[in-house]
Amino acid sequence: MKSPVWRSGFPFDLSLDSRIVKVLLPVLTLVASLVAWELAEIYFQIPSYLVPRPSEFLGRFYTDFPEIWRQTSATGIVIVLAFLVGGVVGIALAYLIVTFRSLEDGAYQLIVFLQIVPKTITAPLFVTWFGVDMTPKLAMTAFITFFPVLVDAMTGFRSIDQRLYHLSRSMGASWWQTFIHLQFPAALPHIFSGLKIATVYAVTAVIVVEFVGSSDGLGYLIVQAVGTMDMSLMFAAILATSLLGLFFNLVVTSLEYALMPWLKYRA
Amino acid sequence: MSMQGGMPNRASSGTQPGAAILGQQVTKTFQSKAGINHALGPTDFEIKPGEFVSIIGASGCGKSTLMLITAGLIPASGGAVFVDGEKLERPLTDIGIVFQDHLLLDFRTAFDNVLLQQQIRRLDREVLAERATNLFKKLGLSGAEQRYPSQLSGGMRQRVSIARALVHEPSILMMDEPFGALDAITRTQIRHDLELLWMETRKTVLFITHSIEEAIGLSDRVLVMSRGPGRIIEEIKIDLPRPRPVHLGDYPEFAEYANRIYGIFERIGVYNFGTKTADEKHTAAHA
Repeated sequence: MKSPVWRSGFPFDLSLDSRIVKVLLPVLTLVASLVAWELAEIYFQIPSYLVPRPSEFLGRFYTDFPEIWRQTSATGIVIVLAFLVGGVVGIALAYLIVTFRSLEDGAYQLIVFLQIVPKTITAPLFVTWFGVDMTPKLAMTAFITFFPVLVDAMTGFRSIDQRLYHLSRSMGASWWQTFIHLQFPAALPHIFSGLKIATVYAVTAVIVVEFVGSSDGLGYLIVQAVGTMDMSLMFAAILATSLLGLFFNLVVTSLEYALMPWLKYRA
Repeated sequence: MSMQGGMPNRASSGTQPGAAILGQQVTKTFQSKAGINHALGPTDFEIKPGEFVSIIGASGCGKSTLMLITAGLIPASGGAVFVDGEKLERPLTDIGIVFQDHLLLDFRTAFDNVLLQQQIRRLDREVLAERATNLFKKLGLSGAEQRYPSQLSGGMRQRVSIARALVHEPSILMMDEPFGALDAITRTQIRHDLELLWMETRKTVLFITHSIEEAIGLSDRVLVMSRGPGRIIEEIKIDLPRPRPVHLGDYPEFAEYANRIYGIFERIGVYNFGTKTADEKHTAAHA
């Protein structure tokens, strides 16, 4: 892929493998798409109340940033709390199911059934139960986050060589020591793949509950914008939602490598 | 052959002698759909304090099961095991175990894998870290302390797991085909290193193997095990000076011991070299 013709005259390495190009290429693609969008709207005279121009909603994102930021935080806090609740419950239940056979035969089947129910359609139910504050959002998002964590944590706990338990028993380890020194770290990579899947689900879940009934959050902002046909604000809110999802994905991925430095050396 | 005279004094610190192990009429049966499978025994065995004893037998003869029973990790179906005269009823903890697979935790560095013993047993960190450093030196692992298992070769991983089994200075060491997954060159070196290490400490060692060379090269006594059900059918005392040479062939006695084991294996039907009469084979098959 190295192009000696390019490299000879330029002060930078501009081959396709270089770092600058790797960052530059997606940025250029994005800018080009936005410019094309803008030009297409001007050319076809598409009204802004149907599809806003990039210049409009990006401008709106900038001018209304305090409001967008406030709603983004409201949604973001729910996701953080839901991750904590869903994560802890998922890991704990996975541990219990793997440890006790009877639970696997009984409870797990029920959980699988609950997972098959499309959860977003239960949003009105959660709102009816818990009102329009943070509680229904948190309940629903935690519920959605919990399942991928449960499934992957179970895989993680099961992946442990049985003879490691021989070893820990010969050391006189308590169940807690076995969990904290052996089972949990062994399951951690699996738990993180569950969490990564959960980030995508979680953002959708919060927004849907906010659509149905909420007094704050990005979903609320989107519904408000649609109500007043304020399309540029709606697009700005959609942009904020995507950025929020991206941010959580980044957090989970960074946390993964910070907590598990050994992953770098895995073949 | 035994290095200690009289009863071991377990209370004394410093060079703690190994424990005495006695197995009486030990059996193990497994219930399956096809019926009851007699995997083991009844069989008797004894390991004296500080003695290096190998159990040799064909795969599937129940030698690993016997080791796990002796470690208190799985219950015997019948009979009993006594350690220093005390009946075994729960897992032994004054023990280090090495399996065929290194079973290192891939999320801990080599050094931290060894120090798992310190953490779980709540021993003094400084003392154990110093011992671990020493063991790393003796096992040729210096410099590998901060590496993760995935960064180590198979031989080095097994060395780390040997260090893990020894760092808390247990009185018993059990090894289940510890060199089985290693290449021949690595195996010879690690066997030699293990012998030197054992000579310093004189733990009681129960060593499970299917290698005649390993058994003779390391043991004070070799117990030969039959299959279906597994029973210890013969005991061979290995009277060779230590440390034993890497080239065991240098000893004419080695060939003699090896031939005896081959002979036993042939008699019980593990090997078929065509040197037996059809009648003898028939007897062996129904033994």
